[in-house]
Amino acid sequence: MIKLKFSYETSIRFSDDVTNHAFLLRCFPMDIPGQKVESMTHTNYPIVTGGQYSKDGFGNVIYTGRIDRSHSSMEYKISGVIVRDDSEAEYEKAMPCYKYPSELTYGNGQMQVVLDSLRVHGSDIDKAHRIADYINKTMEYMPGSTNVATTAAEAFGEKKGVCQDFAHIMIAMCKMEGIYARYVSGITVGEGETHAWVEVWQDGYWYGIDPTRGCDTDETYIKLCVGRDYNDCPVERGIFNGNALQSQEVFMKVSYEKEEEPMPA
Amino acid sequence: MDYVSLNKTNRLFWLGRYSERVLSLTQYMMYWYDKMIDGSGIDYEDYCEKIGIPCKYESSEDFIRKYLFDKEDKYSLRNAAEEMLGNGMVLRETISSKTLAYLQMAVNALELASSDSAPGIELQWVIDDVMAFRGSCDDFIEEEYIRNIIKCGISIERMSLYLRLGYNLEQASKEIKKMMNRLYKSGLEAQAMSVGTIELYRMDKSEGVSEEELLQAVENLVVL
Amino acid sequence: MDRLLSHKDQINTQMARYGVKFGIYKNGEFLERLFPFDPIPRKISATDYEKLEKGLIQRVNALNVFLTDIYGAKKILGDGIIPEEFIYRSPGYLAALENYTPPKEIYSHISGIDLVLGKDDEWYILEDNLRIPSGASYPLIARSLCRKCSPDTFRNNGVVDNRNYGNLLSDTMNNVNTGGINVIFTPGRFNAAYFEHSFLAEQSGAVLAENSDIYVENNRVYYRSSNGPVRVGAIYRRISDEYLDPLTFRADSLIGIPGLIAAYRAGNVAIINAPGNGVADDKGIYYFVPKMIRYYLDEEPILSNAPTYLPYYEEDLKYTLERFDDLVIKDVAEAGGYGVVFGKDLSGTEREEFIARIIAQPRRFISQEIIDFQDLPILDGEGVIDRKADLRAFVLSGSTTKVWPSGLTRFSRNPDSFVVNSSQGGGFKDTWIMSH
Repeated sequence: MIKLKFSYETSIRFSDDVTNHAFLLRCFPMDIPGQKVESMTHTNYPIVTGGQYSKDGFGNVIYTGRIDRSHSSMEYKISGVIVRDDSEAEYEKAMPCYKYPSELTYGNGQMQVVLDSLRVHGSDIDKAHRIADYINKTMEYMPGSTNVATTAAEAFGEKKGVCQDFAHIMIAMCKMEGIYARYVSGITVGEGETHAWVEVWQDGYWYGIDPTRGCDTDETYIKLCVGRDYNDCPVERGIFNGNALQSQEVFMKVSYEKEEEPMPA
Repeated sequence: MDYVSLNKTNRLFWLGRYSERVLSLTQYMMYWYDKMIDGSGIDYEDYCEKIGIPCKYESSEDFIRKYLFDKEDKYSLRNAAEEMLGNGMVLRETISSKTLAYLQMAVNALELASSDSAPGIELQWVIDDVMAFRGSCDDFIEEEYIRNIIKCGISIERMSLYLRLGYNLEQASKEIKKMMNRLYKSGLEAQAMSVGTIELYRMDKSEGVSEEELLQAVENLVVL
Repeated sequence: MDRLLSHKDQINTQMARYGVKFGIYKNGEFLERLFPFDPIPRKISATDYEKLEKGLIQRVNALNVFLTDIYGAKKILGDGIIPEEFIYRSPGYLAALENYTPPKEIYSHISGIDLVLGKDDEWYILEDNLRIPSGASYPLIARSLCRKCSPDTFRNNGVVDNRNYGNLLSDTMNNVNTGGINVIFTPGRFNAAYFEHSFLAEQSGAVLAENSDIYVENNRVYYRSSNGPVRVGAIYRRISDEYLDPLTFRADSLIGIPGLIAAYRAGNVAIINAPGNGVADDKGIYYFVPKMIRYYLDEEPILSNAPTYLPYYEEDLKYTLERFDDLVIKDVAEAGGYGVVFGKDLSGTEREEFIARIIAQPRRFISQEIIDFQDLPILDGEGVIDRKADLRAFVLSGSTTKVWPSGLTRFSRNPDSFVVNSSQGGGFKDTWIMSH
């Protein structure tokens, strides 16, 4: 068991003023067995009208709201304390859709050839490890080489991408083997950008595997949301009036919470 | 109880304006059809300038036909009729299918008129249908303010045409009185400057306010 | 009756007067067409109707239970009645609607079930339309015009009145309304079925609204009235799932309501029909509907499907290839009469390519025996000609499931065409349910 302090900040700038801005955020640490949200604060700027928390079809916490009056930027910040303890994880059923390809996770012939040559065998977790290992060794991590609409097959063909692409390829190949696999968007101990990895379901439990870093996930990983692929997990979606381009800066920080010195009596 | 959104308010207002445009201009053109029998043609260049549309017509006859019937000409009466019908179509549940049918019939009559070398009878149908539409609106629409949004559009369009074409000006005071009354009953937001100008004109119409200023005030009267 | 027929032109003139139109897009341009009406009605006897009614209610009830199951417990998959693939590879399945059950467990409030009458006098189900079945307004307005033009016809024939559709519709909306007004949500004037949207709003007393009239606040839906916001309790939406909410589905949808799905999942508004229904009216799922009826209701299906084969199953694939010329093959993903191929019409490389596609992706296709269905007489000038026709029955699921005692009978324009669909030419007839 470890205790983690996290903060997650995004600022969105518009090249011109926008109005009637409706948005949806999906960037709140999941409160589930094994990952308890001990405390959390969430602030927005400018002030949001009618903001509400609810859950989407995958059980992720979402926040929807509107900013109607004219504005040229939007910021939101989430911070708090998380208790991670993988031994607390509970048995759960997997949604069957995690076994079938989604828009960004269709397999192709090229992947099949690789799967055949890998001769994956053993349990689903063993197979998934073999696949993750292959991706980690053969794919080049190159920011800017792909975008949010890049499919697993496209990134696989180029042999390069970012964590999202690594995850998509792994999911696609797992599904070709009939393994339940899902996309996880999250943050990990350190500073900088958000991360994405894969969970594989076996015998009632989800196991995290990170094909980008070539390791299993541990208690330094905090899950924000899960889905079939990136399309199910965007941290923010919005629609507004105005002809403006959008640019976005994300900064996250996760650190171990130090045990506080006992107060002198 | 009918619920009217801002969009709908806008459409009701323009439904009124376009129905008046179709009615007034059909009558105006029928007057000129009659004049043409005796050999005098409409001064269409002057007309276009007053109404504020480009003049690309070759003759009086060419003008009357194209201005009345040409679907391709976006300033034509035919297009105004289509706009009238279009606004009506998106208000079906507010004005009722029965009422809407009269607008459809006015457009159908205009279509028939376009293929007749002597379209006088069909043009009379257009007028009949628009009048029937108004009666049907009055009869069907329960809320007074909704009726008055349409009527406010009618009055404003009528005043605008009087002032632009410089006819029926002796009726102006009466029309202004009707227009302002309808405006207040409609609950539409009025532009203060315009109201000021119009009231000034009503108090002392010979001095202070020119017809051009009055036209501006009428056109800007309603804030949508 | 002769009097009614002699009034064909008059009735069509009346239709023009009421602007009975549907729009089509041709070469990127929006055109409005009158929907030609043929005055010879399709008559269904009281005894035939009784069976039809029971069968339709049974079918729609089973489909509603199926949808509740698919987005909930998924028992029918667990019990192996339907292979999972038919759900999770279907574009109509929406994961965003998982773990949520709509008000009163009704997904398909308004179902349009397409049938044909075989030469054996049996009705066969052609397809289920559980998303946004359109067309009820046409027979509705046709009936009122026919009654006007030829009152004697209706005095002397025992025809069940069909003009209660507006009431049925408002009852259906009220049944699931979560508190607030009923709204018919249209993408706008340039939609193919705009006439119907506005007409049904008038008939049912609902407010017709476009996206700028509606907004979501605190997970509640409001109508932007000029006298302030009015709470919306039920939305009969006439736009497809993918455009419904840009925050959940297509992000580039400019005609949707941002935040609607969150409000819906919070239980604050009913959406009619429920999003996600596409998973149940898929041509692949069609094959399984009789099995659903047995599974969920423990009843024998009253109405038959057209004999259908799933190339997904080895045996059916073999049969399909052997009897290719006798079958009609349908692409599961296509709708509106598109993607329908008669085996005998294909030859040469076209045929080979098509067969190769079936073998490569068998799950994407179904094949069916061509039903020899009855022609209906159509008035043509002075004479009468025969054309293929189908029937769209409307089933409304409110506090109980009811069949609207009428329907849309559509006929094909070309004598040799088996495809009857308003987007592919053709016209319509009134459908008379006889009281005896």
